[in-house]
Amino acid sequence: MIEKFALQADMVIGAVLIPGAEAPKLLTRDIIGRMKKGAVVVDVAIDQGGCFETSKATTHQEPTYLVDEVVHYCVANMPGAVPRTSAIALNNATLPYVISLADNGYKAALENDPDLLNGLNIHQGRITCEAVAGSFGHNYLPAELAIRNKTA
Amino acid sequence: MLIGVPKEIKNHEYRVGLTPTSVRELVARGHRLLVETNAGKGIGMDDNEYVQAGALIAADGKEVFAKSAMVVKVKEPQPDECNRLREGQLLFTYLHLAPDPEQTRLLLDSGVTAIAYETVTGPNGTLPLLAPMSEVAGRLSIQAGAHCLEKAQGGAGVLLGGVPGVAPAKVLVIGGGVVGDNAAGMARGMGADVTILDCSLPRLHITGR
Repeated sequence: MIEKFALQADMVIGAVLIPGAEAPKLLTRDIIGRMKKGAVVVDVAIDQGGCFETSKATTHQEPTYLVDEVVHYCVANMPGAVPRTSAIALNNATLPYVISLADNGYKAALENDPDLLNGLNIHQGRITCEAVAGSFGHNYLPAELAIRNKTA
Repeated sequence: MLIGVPKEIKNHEYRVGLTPTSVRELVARGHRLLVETNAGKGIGMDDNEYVQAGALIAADGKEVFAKSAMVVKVKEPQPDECNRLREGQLLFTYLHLAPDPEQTRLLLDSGVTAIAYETVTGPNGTLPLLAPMSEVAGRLSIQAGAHCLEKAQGGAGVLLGGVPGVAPAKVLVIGGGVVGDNAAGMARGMGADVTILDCSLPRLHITGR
């Protein structure tokens, strides 16, 4: 399916993200080589290693390169191109959590919100996020225990 | 609580942890805000706007880290910033620790309490503090891709939306998550001929609307 549509496409957007894992390679070099000349591929998964076999990270200063006459746009940290929009969008999402942490203190804020507690990665010298600890072969202290054990 | 907002020091990072609008809200709730000078200057949010919102302006990042009970940022702390954090202090920002053992070690050594935007969860397995950046990237991907289709950029010399009598460009979006959904919507809005591929039929029901 991917190959059939990619060979007809003028533009392919790679938008496959698996949280915390390397992105799967969706377009092989072979398929890229048989795409239309002058087609464009945009790899939005580049921060997770990219989802096209021919992707390598580029910058906002030098955003594109060609492979077999297919334009590759693989800019890392794409939202950085529009930082005003990105900062306001980010604040719209973070402000309720900042308010909760500031009003209640982190201990009460985390105790009362399991979703926010999942955000706790490090507390007083201990890793409290299983995925982070796992990637280093570190042991970890579950977040709910970490905030209970010690005082705020 | 004294909340600090340092200017981002990573190369080409112009975003800021708290905008003047956010500062105004927090000040109204009785908190004190300390914002490093020029923290929002790169995106048109100057010190004066922060002062009008009720913030105090700090001369440098050192002062922000030294005085604040909570530091709100955007990017993961750089080594200089990690060294200024301390036990009892709260850091709220993107961390992306998994591929970054050096930052992890520095944060562990500092004793800080660090909450990462990217692992805060929402209903149904969503990531509410990653979603806004995925929305931006998805929408931007079409704008950037359309520019790349221009001849001078190496593209085929094709206008994304076509014109009456000329077919629009064919856009394939692989993945129907937040990024793909936003990309597809933007491509449709620009008049492209859009196909979305995803393994999940429920996702396609949402994205294909």
